[in-house]
Amino acid sequence: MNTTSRNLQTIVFVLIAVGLIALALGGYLTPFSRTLLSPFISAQSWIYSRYQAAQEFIRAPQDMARLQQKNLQLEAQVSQLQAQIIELQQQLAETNILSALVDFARANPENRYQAAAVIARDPSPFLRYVIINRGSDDNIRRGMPVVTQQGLVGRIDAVTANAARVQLITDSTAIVNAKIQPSGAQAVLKGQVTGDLILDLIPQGTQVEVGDLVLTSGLGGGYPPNIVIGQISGIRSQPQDLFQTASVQSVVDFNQLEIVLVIINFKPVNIEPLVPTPGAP
Amino acid sequence: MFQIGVLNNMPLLHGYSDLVLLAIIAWALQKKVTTAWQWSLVGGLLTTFISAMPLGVYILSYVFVTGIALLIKKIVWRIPFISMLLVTVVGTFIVLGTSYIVLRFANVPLPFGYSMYEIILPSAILNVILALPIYALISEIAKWLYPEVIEV
Repeated sequence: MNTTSRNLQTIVFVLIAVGLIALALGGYLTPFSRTLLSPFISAQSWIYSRYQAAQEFIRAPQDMARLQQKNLQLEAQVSQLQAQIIELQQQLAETNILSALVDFARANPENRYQAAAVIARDPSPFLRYVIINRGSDDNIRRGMPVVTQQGLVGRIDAVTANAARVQLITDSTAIVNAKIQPSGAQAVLKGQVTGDLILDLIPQGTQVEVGDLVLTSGLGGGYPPNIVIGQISGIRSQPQDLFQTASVQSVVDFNQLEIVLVIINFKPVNIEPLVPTPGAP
Repeated sequence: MFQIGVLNNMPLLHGYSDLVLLAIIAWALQKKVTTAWQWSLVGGLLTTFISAMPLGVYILSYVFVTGIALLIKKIVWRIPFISMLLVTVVGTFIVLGTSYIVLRFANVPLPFGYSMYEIILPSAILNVILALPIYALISEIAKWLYPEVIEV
């Protein structure tokens, strides 16, 4: 009796289970299961999100340290690359200048040049001199002209073994014998304390115009002839004056001098003993 | 080197600051320093060697400014910053004024107005701007070289 009752119970359970499965497969239990499961799903979601938050909280210092380290590495790399860019830009600028100077030297094969870098300026604000990094060890001598690919810069004023001082043509005491093209008139170029250039002693009858070219004349033996100095930018001519004067715009930017060429095969001539002195027989 | 390589490329109008002068003044104004004269001579010789200025201009003017700095140190020893500013202004006028006079005697055409307003005054302003940082730096060097003796 007992065994029969148990078998009957088992069969009833099996039938109920099969019935439920059949209803579930048929989709009839979906609303019921949804209602029943939704609190569980919400609870599970909440628990899992808390677990993730706790996990991130535990992991965060490690990640932060790793990111900070990576950031430092990248910053160092960026700094290094920026330094490289600056260095390469400087090298490129220097190469461009040297290339132009080489072109200039090839275009003027009659001269021999020694390239030198400008390393300093005179400490006195009244004087316009620069120091270059070549001296008597590189065959540089006092009086040699200094040029760039653009034109005349000045001449060597003092020399040591490894450096030389260059008097710029803009210095107040600098004087260059010049000629004006196309008229061919002779004049004297003088530097000013302002850094400007004044062309003096232009004969009154000479036709001079703004834009005329000013070149070294070679007279006096201080500079070789036909080196470009600049262009006339203004003329002052009074009928009662003996001479005209003109302001000259130099072709060289003296504030940006970096590399210059010294003409080392030019020997300046000292004509002072030939200049008559007052009272001499 | 910093003076002739960097600062001389940073003019105000046509005036430059003079770091050597500022360092000499700041050194002379330090309490325990006894080598002010020697350093003014060294500074003068170095600047003379580099510059095309006639011989002796920088040596004489630096030594003279050192004398003024030492005198001021005796008179107003409690407020060195004020002394530094005062001697900087006076020293700039002495150094550049001497340069101007010597060049004028050498027949260099230097218009007075231009020299004063475009060169000397801007140089004085630049020197005054740099005076206090230089004084602070030189003070640190002096403290390092001549440490305070603490009595126990």
